Amino acid sequence: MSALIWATARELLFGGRALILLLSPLISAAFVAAMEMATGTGAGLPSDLATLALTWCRELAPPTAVILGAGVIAGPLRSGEMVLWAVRPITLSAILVARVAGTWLATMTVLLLPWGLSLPLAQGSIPTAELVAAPLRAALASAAVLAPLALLSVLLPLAGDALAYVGLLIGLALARENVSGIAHRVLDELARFLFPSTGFVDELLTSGRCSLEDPLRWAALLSLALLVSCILLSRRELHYARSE
Amino acid sequence: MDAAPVVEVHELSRAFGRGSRRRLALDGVTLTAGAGEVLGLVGPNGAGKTTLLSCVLGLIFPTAGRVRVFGGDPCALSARRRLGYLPERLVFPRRVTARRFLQLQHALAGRPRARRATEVEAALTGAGLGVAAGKPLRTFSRGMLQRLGMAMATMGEPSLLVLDEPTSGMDPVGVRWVADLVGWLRQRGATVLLSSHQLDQVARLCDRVAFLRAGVLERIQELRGDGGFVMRLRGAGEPLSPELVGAAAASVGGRFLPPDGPAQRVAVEGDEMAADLLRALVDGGARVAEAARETAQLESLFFEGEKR
Repeated sequence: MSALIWATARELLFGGRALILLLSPLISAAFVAAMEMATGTGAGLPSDLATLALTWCRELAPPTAVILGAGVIAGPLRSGEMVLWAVRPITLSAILVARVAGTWLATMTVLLLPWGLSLPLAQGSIPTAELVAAPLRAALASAAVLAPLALLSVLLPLAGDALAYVGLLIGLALARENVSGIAHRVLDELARFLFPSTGFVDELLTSGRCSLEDPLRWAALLSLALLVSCILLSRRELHYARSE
Repeated sequence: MDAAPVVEVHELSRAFGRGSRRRLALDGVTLTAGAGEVLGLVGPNGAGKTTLLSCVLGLIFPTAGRVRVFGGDPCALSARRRLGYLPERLVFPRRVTARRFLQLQHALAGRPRARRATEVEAALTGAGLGVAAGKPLRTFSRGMLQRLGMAMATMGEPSLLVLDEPTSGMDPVGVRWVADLVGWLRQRGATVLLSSHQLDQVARLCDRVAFLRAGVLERIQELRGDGGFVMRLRGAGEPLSPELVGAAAASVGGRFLPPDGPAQRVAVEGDEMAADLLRALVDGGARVAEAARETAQLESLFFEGEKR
């Protein structure tokens, strides 16, 4: 399995596909900026509608861009390559885990390496505790999201994948309204994780600096999107093999 | 050949689609393949050959019926450790080198890490890809990819080798290499399932041939053993004398058949009788320029089914 993890990570890192991950937040940020300019200059849109559109763009553009990027990255799974792995003495779940782990590894390398390299330039303004807490929070959140998703994905083929994702989001939104205390805090964190702001990109572009937490949340979102894409695409690949 | 079959397919049916789109790709297929046997799968496009192979490999599951490999579930990891597979549609990662690709396949096959470098290099050299081993696969021709696929499938001397159109796009040297490889594996007791449209290749390599049409197994034809085969003989310079060939055939117990143009034809019962026939011809003064297994029998069976 480790061979497959490294092979996947290597394929993504050296194949150029991982660069899309770097581009996707910039594209979404540019999109939001364009919308802001359009509303700011009163380009004929009713103000309420413009505000609503801007809000939606802010919230939906990042995950959309990320998932599109993830689809490109997980593309080789669609090609039929998986059939060569599926006849080897390795279980399907192990293949999926290895593929996901490899993709995640490549993603984190691409995203965190530049941030890591830029840390010395941050003039020591980042607390050490935050350096540990932020990735840990992101990892826990991704695990919490992925566990039910993966379970549903296995139990319900194809349509179950989409249902699991949508159901999770709806459930999250409803639950936030009805719980309090620590559960509310957890769900709130999950919601922030799923819909992060692109503010850090704006901040970075305007002032050249931003806090570390937001980019890390971004990285965690990317990981989630990649995991979801891998699960979905892998299942499609199996379907392809079966219908051959 | 062992008594216990390596591959057992019993009343296998497989349907695709639902409702009005439901199509039966396989319909009640029953066959077996034993150790040391090469079983050919022949049939027109859409006959269900690849579907049958996919069921044997555990990539798809039967709608009805049963498939057993090495006496158990084809999906069992123990079965897959002894399996080699060359798919018809080769999809390889484009950016990796041939060496890196085989190293990954070696690891996935569960082969010992200590032998990886040796076995991968041997596979590359055997496939005639030694020089190109360090080049990315996107630069490979179709024939080179096919060779790489064969190297991948035969790595670790599998006990069951499943080949789907193995010589597609290969040059004659590659075709002979595949034939030698299959023959070598058969001698070592491996079972080979070979799906191909190349009837001459099937006739040369296979012990038996299963004819599939529209998902139905029409017949299984013996090509070796009791069934025998037909030899085509051609003389050097001038046609062979029918009297001489007839006498030689009678002396070894073969059956002299009507000639086909300049070629004389003799039905023999196996490789031993074929060798005896050639010796008798040479001893009788015949100048034999060519002796080959006749594929017309397979062709006639193929087109016979087509007419029906």
